[in-house]
Amino acid sequence: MWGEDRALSFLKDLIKKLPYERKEVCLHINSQELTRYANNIIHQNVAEENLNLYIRVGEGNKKVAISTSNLEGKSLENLIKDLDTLLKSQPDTEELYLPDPEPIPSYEKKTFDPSPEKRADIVKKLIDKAEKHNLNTFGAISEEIGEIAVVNSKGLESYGTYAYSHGKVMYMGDGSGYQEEIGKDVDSIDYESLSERALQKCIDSKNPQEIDPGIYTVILEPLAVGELLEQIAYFGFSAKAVQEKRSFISLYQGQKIFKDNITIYDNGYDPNGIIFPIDFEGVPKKHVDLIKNGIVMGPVYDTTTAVKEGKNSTGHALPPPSTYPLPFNLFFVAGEKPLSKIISETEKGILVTRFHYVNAFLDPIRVLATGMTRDGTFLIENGKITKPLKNLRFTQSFIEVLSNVEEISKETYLVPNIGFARVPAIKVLAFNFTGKTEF
Amino acid sequence: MMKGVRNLIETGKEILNYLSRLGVDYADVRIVKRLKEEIEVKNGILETAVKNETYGYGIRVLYNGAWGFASSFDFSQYKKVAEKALIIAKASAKTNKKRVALAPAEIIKAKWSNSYQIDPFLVPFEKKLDLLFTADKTMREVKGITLTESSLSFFREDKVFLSSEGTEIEQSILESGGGITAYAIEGSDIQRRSYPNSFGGDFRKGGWEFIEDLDLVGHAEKIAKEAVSLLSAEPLPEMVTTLILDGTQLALQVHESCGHPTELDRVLGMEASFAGTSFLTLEKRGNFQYGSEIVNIVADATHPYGLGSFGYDDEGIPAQRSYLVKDGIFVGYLTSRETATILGEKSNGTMRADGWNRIPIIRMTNINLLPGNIPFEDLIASTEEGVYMAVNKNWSIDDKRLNFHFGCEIAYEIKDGKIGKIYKNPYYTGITYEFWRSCDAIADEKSWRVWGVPNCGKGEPIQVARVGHGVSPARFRKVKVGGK
Repeated sequence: MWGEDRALSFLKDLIKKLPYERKEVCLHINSQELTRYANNIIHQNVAEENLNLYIRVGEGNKKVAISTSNLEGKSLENLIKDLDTLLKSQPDTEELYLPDPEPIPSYEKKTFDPSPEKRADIVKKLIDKAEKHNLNTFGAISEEIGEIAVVNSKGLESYGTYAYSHGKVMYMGDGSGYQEEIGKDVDSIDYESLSERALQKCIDSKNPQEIDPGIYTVILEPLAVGELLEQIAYFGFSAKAVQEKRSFISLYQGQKIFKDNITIYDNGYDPNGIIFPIDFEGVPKKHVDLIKNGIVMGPVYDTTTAVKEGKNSTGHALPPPSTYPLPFNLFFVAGEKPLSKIISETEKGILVTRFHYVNAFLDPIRVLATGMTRDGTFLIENGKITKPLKNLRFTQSFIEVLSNVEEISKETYLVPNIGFARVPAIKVLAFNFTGKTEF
Repeated sequence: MMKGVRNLIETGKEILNYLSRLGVDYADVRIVKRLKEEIEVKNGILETAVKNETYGYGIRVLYNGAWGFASSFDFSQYKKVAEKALIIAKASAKTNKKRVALAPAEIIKAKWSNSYQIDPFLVPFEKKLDLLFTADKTMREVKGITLTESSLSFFREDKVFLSSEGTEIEQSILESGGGITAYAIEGSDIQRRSYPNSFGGDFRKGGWEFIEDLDLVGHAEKIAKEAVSLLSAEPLPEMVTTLILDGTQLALQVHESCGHPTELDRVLGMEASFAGTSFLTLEKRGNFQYGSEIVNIVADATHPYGLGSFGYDDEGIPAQRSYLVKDGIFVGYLTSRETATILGEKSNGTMRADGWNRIPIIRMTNINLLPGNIPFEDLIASTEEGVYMAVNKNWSIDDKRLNFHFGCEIAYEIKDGKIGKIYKNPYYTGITYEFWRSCDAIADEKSWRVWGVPNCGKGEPIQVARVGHGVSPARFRKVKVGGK
């Protein structure tokens, strides 16, 4: 990590050398480590130090971007020369829009030194648990710290840091069980609880029975809800998708199409998530209501999409080549009932731990997704989990799913998403399973 | 060291020398420089004009039979990074019950580069923009088109690989790709057509000459008209019927249902918690009827223009061609030096890393369905009733690679050996081995080509590989199809 003074000083020197009307320089440095284990051994164990410098410049209605990890010798100079060629040889089409400076709210600056030893000690305990039950364990523990600094020709100077850890635990024998969670650091993830939940699912999913595909009531646990929300966010919550009329928001903005119990927002400063203070244009993250009490709100903007609607960026820009703002810190507001009570009140339904290979390109507007269940699919009868099921394929509009949410659990978990998402479990009526597999 | 213009081999040797002083059992160093140019015109606007360079090194060590890997962009810190790799290997050793063994490998000193005619990085930017703006305009001139995308992408990778066993390899790779897509959107109905393939088009080893051969402008009007026609087309009815897949879709079918399940690391559980495992377990090798007798699939890293071709993999193993499925029987895996020892074999050279900062893992090369002996026209003409589907729209397959579901951009009715009306939102679904066993005809080599897939995701942290799939259209019987 370079720290705020060094990073901003480097960028301020660099931007002076760029002879353009509009210009922006952004530095992203991160340190990422990951310990991966399978079959009760660590089989991959890696560390990486990355640096990416992004430069965007514009003249009139022309714009261009370069990025590099190579600050050495003539390489950077040559790339900057390329900027000139790329800029001057293009026709006028669209201006490079840059954000104005604004203060960055204070936040808890978290950092740590990633530790392969600490991760190995955790994995050792997970393996001991597997061996005690004559099972194999699989998963990964990662740690990442990073910093983003941005300077632009409108006087913006922004700097922010982030840090998080991510744990995944799977047990596999005759059945399989899986859980994962994001935490502020490796110590904030309760691996004892995480592994117990995964282990119990593995034990309970032995000898799964086949069930016919069809329309069922389902209870989606937080990992499945995270995947559902990721698809809705990717296809629906970006201003770019809305402006191109590829998002459900372009059809329903301002309308109440969900029940009162559905509220989803994005907030990079919410301490119940992972704090990600600024975006890649240096804009502080704003609280954005995406769905509020069932009413379609949103979307999230970067500067380019915001200017087109006479608005300000909400702080959701990604680095080039992406031109597609996305929410990184999602929150699906919890309900009041414990998951156990929601299960006990379900006459017949299917409990889904996790989805696999979900893809909603079939119909991006309805977020019509197909995918599989995995690592713990169970039948609920008369309020009790009665037997494990073989995995099922679903083909289902996720917008319809949100319309059919009957209950929301009070428990929430922080799970991976486009960035991160804090999500509950949900009970959904009329979920469409369209196929089955052999295990 | 490490100042000014760097000699990559000498730099690699210096890092290896330092590692030898640290007492590692085995080490390799990769130094990789990548340059990418991406240009996209969207609805008449230059949406993306980006050049990206990335440069750094990755160090992989075996210590006490356990792996450690560390990487950095900062060459001045190579001793610290080497020490980090060792610290990580020592941490890995805490859980290991047996030592990692590597299958023997020939010591190689070599240079390799792929062939091309015109370096795309030297083609004037104006020329590239002219092509994209013309294609874009042609599509937008079709009434009913609401969104257009035209893109080009060029990729250069220069890398060296050095191992403590004495191997020293320099490789230089140059790849080009491009494509166009037209969207017709009406309310909640969103239809699109792409050429030559969806998700950015087609990609291969080669230069600007490939882009010229694609003739993006010449195909722009046709796909735009088809996208508009799809708005008023009926959804494909649900039924069990004969299905013919075009090359682009069949390439992805091969990718998902043969490429991934034959990766030996998946089979051995190394990807279990993330991407999943495989139904092609060890005991099935040599005796499992994967497909019908006409199905022959090879992994071929030696193909001249395949996106998955190379001279040597990222463990220094020479590029090879080996059978995965022969006469319908599953016979082979994609392997690495570590995994091949389990089979008592040598690696067949499929380890690749996504740049300098990631470890090599088993990746597809060019996974090719070998051509059959019937001309494509006869394939259609000999089909009494069925559906012809083209160009992928969505994909999903379970974590053992059995139950799949693919959507395509367009379907054409086949009746009495002739192509008929179009249907929208087509999909097909099935179980991998049942599907391949139902393959009763594969078009001949006249319609065979290798399609490039530049976005294959695998591993943690996620790695994106550039792979290829050689196919010609093929026919499958009794397939479940539908429209949404």
